Parts: sequence; structure tokens; C-alpha cells
Amino acid sequence: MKHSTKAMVALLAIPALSVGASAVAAHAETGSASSVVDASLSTLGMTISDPTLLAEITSDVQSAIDAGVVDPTVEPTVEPTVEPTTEPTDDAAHDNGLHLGHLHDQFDLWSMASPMWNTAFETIRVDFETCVAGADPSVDCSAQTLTALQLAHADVLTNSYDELAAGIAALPVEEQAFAQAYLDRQMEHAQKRLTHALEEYATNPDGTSVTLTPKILAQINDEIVAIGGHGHGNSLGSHHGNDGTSDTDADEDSQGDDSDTDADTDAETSTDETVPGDSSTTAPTGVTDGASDGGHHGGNSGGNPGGSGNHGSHGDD
Amino acid sequence: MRATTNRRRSMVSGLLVATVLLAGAALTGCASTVDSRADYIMTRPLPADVTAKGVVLAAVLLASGDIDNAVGNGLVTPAEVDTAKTAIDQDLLEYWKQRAEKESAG
Repeated sequence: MKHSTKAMVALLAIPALSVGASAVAAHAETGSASSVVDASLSTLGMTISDPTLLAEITSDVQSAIDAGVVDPTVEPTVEPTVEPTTEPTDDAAHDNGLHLGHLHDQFDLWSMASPMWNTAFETIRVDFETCVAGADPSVDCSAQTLTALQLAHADVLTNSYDELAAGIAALPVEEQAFAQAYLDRQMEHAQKRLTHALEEYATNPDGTSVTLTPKILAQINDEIVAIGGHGHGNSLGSHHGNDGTSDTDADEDSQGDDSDTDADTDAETSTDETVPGDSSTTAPTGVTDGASDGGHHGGNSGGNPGGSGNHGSHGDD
Repeated sequence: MRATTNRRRSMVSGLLVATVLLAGAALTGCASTVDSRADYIMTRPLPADVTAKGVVLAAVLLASGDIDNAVGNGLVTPAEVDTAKTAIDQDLLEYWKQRAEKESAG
């Protein structure tokens, strides 16, 4: 993960600039998961008629809100304030009348993040399969997987912080405050997640076995220390003096549910088969049945990467 | 002379037929491209780290959330985000939604 620092500078700077500068609390009064889904589907020019699927998506979006992934007070159809660096591959989206402000930002974000995440995910997948194959009842493979994902995210933030901060310093003054606040909230979230992971999984409730490996525990501790070194107050003062920025509480509050963010992400990955219109066209390499099945169901038992969560149900097929 | 003319007419007719056939094939090919993509999306076996619902959710999160954070929290997989992004780009998301609805009902 440490190889992608430069990409992450741009990766994090873009949403900091564009989302933040223009996002407004357009539907704060209706900031429920349902309203977020409705607005998002409208942005995408799509409707979901199946009530079961709609309920599942809404539930997943609620989980995303709880995890701070979605800010329900932010209108998803805001216009961009920064021109996207990568245009969509065709104009179909424009033709559909989509409002591509936030979507473009996220496209740019993901264009840079995708290689890094796929690489990280492959490592996490292998670790998960190894864990499942070990069939050690004292080891919670799902918890390990989620923690590994959070570690990967925190690692990126930590290693990118100084460059991101330098990039923010180059912004117009009126945009610096928001961008710095955005970055600091990200750092704070990462630290909270890692602290939670350390507290939650280092010792079982009954005080017995440690569910994480010493290696991961050491990594968590290192990341917490590293993130702490880039703390909000320190960073604002030492880097840019944007102390006037006030952190919003929305994201921070959402972290209270971190214990519920044991998503059931499969710790598996796939490679691109380069079929137009479909980037997930190859079978994953070395996918075990246990890993695949685990992605569907709740519970923190081994075989369910990412765990006990209420989130997506990945990993079938 | 008449034989030559007939051969020419025959050749021209042949060329016209071939042209029409080729044009028809091309048009059919264009028309079937989207259909074949739709069929492919709707029916092919998916990688273990991709579900149709996950693709739709990734699209929703792309439209409303922080996608990097979403992956970091295990809400969607990188492959699902890749797929959703491509599907939005190429106006194919509807087929993923249809597949998700089909699987949800099934």
C-alpha cells in the first residue's frame, strides 16, 4: 500500500476540493437512508421496483451512513466545482441527464484508487483464505479481514498525509479550510476505527484468546501511533494554520457504530477480462468455497470475510 | 457483347446483394452488441467477489458516498466498484439492477 502515496494525494485531494466546496445540506431534513437511495437512484437515472432489493439496498446504505461512508445531509447531485480529470468513456451518462458532480468526483477517486485497492484486496483475500483453511476456532477470520481493510485504508491516509496537506496548501485560501477539515476527519475516522478494532478484537469478551494475529495487532498499534502524529490539532497548526476550520460532527458521530461495520465483503478479487461494459468478468483466482460462502451470511465465524455485518452480500456465484 | 453485359450485370447484382448482406450484418451486429452485453450481464457466472446487488450498491455509493471509505469498511468490493463504474459509464447499470432484482426474487 505504501507505493501509492502520490496517487492518494490526488485521490483524497479531489473529493476534498470538489465535494466539500459545493456540497450543501440539501436534504438534511430528509436525510434518511431511504432519501439517500432515492436521490442516488435519481442521479443514476434508475428505479428499483423490486421491494426486496430496494429494502436491502436501503439497509446497506443505512450501514454506510452509520459507518460514515455516506453523509445523509449531503446532496448527491451537486455540480462539481473542479473539472474532473478523467472523462467518462462515453456520453451515455450525460445523455441520461445525470447530474454528475459527485459521481464524477467519485469516478476520479476510484480511477486512482482501484489499482491500489485491488492489490490490497488480493493480499487480504489470500490472508482470509489462509485463515479459513486454518480452521482455528479461536481465530475470527471475519474480524481479521475487516481489520485488514481498515488498516489498508488507514495506511493510505497516514502515508499520504503530508503530501495531501501540501496539496491543500496550494489551494485557493477559501477552499483550504474545508479541505483540511475533510482530511482531518478522514484521519480521525481512521484512528477511531483502528482503536475500536484494537479494543474489540484484541481480547474476546470472555477474556480468552486474541482473535487477531500479533502481526496485525502490531500494525494497528503502529497505525494508531502514526495517525496520532498527524492529529487534527497538530496538523492544522503545523501545516497550514487553518484553525478556523470547524469539524462537523456528522461523521464523527457515525463512528459509534463501528462495531457494526463488520461487512461481509469477500476477501476475494478478480481480474479484468477486458470485456467492454463489464469489469468483473473473470473468475477469481484461487477462490475457495468457504471464502465464497462466507460472504453471504452473518456471523463472525471464520469463512465470513468482513464478518457479522448487515451490509452487502458478496461472494456468491 | 451481350454476354459481357450480362456478366457485368450479374457481377453488379452480386455486389449489390453482398453489400446489402454486409450492411445488414453490420446493423445486426450493432443492434446485438447491447443485447449481447445485456445477456452476458444477466446470465454469466460472476466472480466470487462480485454480486449484482453489490454492483448496484456500489453505484449508489458512488453517487452518494465516499467510495474509498466504502471499500475500507467492507461495504463493497473493489471489483464491484470497478464493475459499477464501467456500467454507469457505458449505460449498462440497468442490466445489473435487473439481475439483482432477479436474484433477489429468486
